[in-house]
Amino acid sequence: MTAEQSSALPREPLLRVENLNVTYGSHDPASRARIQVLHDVSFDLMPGERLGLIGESGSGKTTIASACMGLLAPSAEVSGRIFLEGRDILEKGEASIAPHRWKDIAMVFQGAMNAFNPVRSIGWQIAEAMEVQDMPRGRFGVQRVGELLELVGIPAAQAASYAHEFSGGMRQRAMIAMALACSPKVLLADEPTTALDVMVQRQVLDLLVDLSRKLELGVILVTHDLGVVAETCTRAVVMLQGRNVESGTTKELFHRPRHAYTAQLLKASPGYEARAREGAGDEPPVAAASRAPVLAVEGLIVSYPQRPSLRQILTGSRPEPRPVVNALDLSVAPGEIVALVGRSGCGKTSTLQSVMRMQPASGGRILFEGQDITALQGRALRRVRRDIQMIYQDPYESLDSRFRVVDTVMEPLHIHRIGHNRAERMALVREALERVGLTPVDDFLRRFPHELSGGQRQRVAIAAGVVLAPKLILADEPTSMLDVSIRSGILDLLVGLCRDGGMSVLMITHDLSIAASYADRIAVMHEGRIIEEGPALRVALEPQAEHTRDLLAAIPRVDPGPVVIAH
Amino acid sequence: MLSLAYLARRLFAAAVTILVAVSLNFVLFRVLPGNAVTHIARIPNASVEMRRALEAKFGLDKPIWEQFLIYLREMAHGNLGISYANRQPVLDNLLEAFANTIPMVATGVVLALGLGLVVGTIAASRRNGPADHLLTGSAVLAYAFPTQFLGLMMVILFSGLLPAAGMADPFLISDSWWEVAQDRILHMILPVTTLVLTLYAENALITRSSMLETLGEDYILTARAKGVPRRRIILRHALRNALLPIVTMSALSLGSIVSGAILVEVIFSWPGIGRTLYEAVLNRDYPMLQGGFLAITVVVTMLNLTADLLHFVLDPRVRA
Repeated sequence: MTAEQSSALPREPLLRVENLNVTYGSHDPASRARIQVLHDVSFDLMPGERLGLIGESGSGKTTIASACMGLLAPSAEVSGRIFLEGRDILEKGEASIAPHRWKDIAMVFQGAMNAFNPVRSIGWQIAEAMEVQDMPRGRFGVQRVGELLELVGIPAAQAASYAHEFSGGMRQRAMIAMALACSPKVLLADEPTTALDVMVQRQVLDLLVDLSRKLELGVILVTHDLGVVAETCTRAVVMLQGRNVESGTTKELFHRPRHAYTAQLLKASPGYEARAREGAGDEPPVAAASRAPVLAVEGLIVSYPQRPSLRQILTGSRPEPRPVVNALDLSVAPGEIVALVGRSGCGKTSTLQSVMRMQPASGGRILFEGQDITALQGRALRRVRRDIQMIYQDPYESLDSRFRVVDTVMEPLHIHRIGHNRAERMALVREALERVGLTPVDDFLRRFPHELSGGQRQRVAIAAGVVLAPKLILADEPTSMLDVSIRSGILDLLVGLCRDGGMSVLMITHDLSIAASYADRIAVMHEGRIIEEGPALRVALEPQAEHTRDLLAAIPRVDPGPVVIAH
Repeated sequence: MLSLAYLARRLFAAAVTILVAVSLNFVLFRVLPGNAVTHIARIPNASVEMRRALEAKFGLDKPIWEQFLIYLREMAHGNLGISYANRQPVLDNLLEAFANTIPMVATGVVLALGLGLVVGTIAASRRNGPADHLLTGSAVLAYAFPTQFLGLMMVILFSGLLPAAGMADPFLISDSWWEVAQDRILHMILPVTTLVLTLYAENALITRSSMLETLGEDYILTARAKGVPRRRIILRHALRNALLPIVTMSALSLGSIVSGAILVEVIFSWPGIGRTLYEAVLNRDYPMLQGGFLAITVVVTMLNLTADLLHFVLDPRVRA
């Protein structure tokens, strides 16, 4: 592998990681409390190159980035070598890395949401990076902060803003500007776009590629998204359980994966083209039109009150509420999966909350099985809620950490007084866990959420909804917090519940490709309205609205283009 | 513009709170069984006519809403009634008591806050080290002592060395302001120390946990990656964020201190607001109690308003 690369790229590598091992816990090699998170990881990074570090959660990809920055926990034991332009910076541990921090190796963190100090201005924080590295300060510093912001497409005047005043995409750009403050040679980007919606993701990735070319910057892109790697990286390293299982140029890796795991990852990535080829999505699986819809939303308006300004307080007038959902029509037939697709802030979550009656509707009607539930109260509302269940985005947050699996799944039965005794309820709990694929059930019943993987947690959350045998399941980005290989399992489960269980699913997602791969129907939402609606594959393959086309164009494709060398 | 709206909202909320408290204060003493007349007319052979005359004299024969309006009007003119106990206007009594309390309590609170901040910050930055164990352990110990026990121990241990009762030596007759000031300061040492010991621990523990939470935030990792030195991370990045919950908490506890200083004032015979209220309860001096409650409400509301305004200064997210 190394021979191949050095012949293709004759220059000296910018960063070379050699046999990197990281171990946590006990110093005694025989102890069970000792966990090795990295095993002999090696790779090179050339100047101006973008290297993808692919892996799922727990594969050790973030540990590699932290090791390069010297940010590992003090309990970590590190061996191996990291060469920066031929010098070993790992020789004396953190002490020998510290002088290179930000000056030579800078990092863009995951979730720029919290990577900025909320009480200091963005400009102050960028200037601080230069100040502690003895770069010019004062007027020259201010000017440089402005230049850096302009470089990432933020007006220099915004330097005085605080993080909360920036959108997610702007924050990530500002983070990149801060990373570039001391003109580093290597940029580590740890899941830089995971929390962003597809269109913003596209902008940030384009920026990274552009900067890497312009500044001869070596970029290591840590991600679990193969599409992101395919579109931005020249080479990639695949990580599995702390080992580098495969590396090579992106094209080779994606077209001729040598390791079974790489192939599995590629298969797990959503590709609705395959579904189209199978011809599955042409006719709806159920005769949707013939039956009365489970859910019909007619002209729904959801608006949030605005804070009054001083003048409005003094004159006693109220500000106009801001409509987030504006005259929305939507229907879900029995046994159907409908995906509501849109960018963040388009009102899809408000719609879902309104259907769940957690957010009052300001106008319009919500019909559930023909019954108007828009203004139901008390007992009648509780009866309807039994038939509408919600699955949340983040299974790490949505499960009570002190509830065992059996408690979580049984709680809804208690609330709705289903089952006469514990044995009856237990039988229902077991059935629900079996339906979501947590078998053998006895292994899971007594576990706490921290003893489950992310996918298992989401299955428990689904079981807690399914146990009531609802007619409609509302799913709020059910897979966006999960690893790629687990996603398809959860989505297949939802599809299965519809096909066999007679439930309907209304799912919201920002990822059109997921929607196109699994849903029966897609409704594209933009600024509070549905702008396009139709059978899933028709929307994905022949989009009518311009916004739908933009959304489609922004999805990173797993296909990195044709292989130049013939087989 | 928006920030002015924030200020206006806060001020409005404070005004409403005080108005509600004033009304409750009125209702509370009307709900109590009996009134001033039943109290006075408890003499043998008191005739019905005499009771009527007394009620008319006190205005108690008027409808309740009119009484309320009179109450509001008089209060607006600074008339809080006359104390039963010493026949002085309640307002004068309260002002004198507050004037005595504020120097002692303010000194104690400020010292406790400062000490708590320093101790909490040091403990958090040396988490699980010997310094942390020592500081946190002693803070928990101090927190566990009841104020009255600590105060009595102070009196027993130091009463020979330092004055342990009153706020001034009644026999000191001196023209030199320095001697007077010295005498006041000496009298303050024991009560202030007691107050600091009972209060600093809470501040230290809150600061420590708030600091630890902040140190775990992503932006601290960012700062470390930037190469910011540890000391600067703590002082410039963490402390300012950790302060936000501390400001709210200490404003709330400051309010209770006004009345909470009762124990300290009684033990050290400090003629402040706490002891005044304590004595008013013993003497069933209703006008005095009513005035005292009102004063405490106003002080607590003002302190909360101050905390909100401090938040406004410290947290740009509130300013937006």
